[in-house]
Amino acid sequence: MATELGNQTAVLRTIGPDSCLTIDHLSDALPMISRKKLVMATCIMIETGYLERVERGCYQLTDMGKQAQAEGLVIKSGPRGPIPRLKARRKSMTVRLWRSMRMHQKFSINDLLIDSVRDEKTGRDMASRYLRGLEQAGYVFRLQVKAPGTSLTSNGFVRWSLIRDTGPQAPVLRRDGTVFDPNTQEVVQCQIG
Amino acid sequence: MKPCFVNTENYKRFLAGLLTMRDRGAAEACILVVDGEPGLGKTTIVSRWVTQNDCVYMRAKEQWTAGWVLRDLLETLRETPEYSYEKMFKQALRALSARSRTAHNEGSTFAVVVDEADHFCSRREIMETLRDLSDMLEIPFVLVGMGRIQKNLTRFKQIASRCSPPVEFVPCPLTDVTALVNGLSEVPVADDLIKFLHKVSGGYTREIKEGIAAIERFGKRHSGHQISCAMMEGQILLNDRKTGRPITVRVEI
Repeated sequence: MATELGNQTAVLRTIGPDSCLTIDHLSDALPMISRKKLVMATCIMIETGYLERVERGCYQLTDMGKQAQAEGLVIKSGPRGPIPRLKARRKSMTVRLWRSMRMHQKFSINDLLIDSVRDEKTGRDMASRYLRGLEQAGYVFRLQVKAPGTSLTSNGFVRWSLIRDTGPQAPVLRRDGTVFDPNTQEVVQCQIG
Repeated sequence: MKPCFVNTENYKRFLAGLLTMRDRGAAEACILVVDGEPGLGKTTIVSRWVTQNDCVYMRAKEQWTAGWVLRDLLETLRETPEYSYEKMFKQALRALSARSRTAHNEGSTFAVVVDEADHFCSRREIMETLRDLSDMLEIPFVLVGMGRIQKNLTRFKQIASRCSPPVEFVPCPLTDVTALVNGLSEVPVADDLIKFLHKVSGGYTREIKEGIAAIERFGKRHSGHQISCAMMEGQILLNDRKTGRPITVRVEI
């Protein structure tokens, strides 16, 4: 029976609707299946919901298992339902800028560039445009005290604070002057187009 | 100073440590300790790596407890923490496994990085919580500290045995100082001044950056020249870490 129908079906048909069997009992009842394979079959059946472990070493059919037994179901391998589609996340520089902002919470543009830039030639322009967009959409706040500049006549670097951390996905600055937040599915107006 | 990242020996050592952990024999050995004195660039390197790889980053607090760790972790993962430790632990497992799966599908590395780990490395309950999380999901946990973690881990043999070989951050050699000066400075710097900077900074990245800023300030007043020790003689380069006194440039004969 075991070789023809599979180990899980054999276990399903061996355990009675109201009985509770241990691996030893199953092993005695199904001598053609090795103990290791029986353990594997019970583990998979617990995962799929046909079997439950009442206590240590005591396996019992669930309602789903009893129904399957009554219907004479043959358990087959294969997918257990639809696999959810995962949308690939963007790997752009704005994504890295957003990650860096979430990590630092308070930062200057240089902090973000050190963390984020790979080989982008216009990294600073991209970062400042993104920051301006997020500022208008209310995600970042311009702090009063600036970071000291390195040049002689520098006014210093603006420091920012992330005041709206909505999640791991970076808000998208759209061409139509809006910011789309994939974390909240919200669209916020800003003036940068 | 140019806002860019320079690959130093410490960064290469850190990446090598991660590779060693990935290729480990025992699957449950997924705690990596990154140790080193303050000012060696640990936070900069870890921050860069976390940003490039979308890892979870947490900064430890002095009064952290096991419950607080889980609450912080859940907040970082954008989950609303439940009220009991048990429920929060299960929530953390679910959220971390989801993030790990997403990272795996995207082909990127996922890890939980805890900075300033010296604050809690002597507390059994926190270390055991992190160990349980890392054991159950086999997600790498990177503990970044300032030289005390390794010593404290000897108390917890079950945790110490799960650690990959530690990554020890060391002062930069001359080659790294040269790379940092060439990568960050906006003015050309002569070799003798780089050697002097290496000597007086002791190879600490923080002091090297302080020196580069001073050289740049001087160099911009003398644009078009390569800045050497002779040009900067008598100028303050940086402050001494131990005494706090300014160190001035002098020509060495």
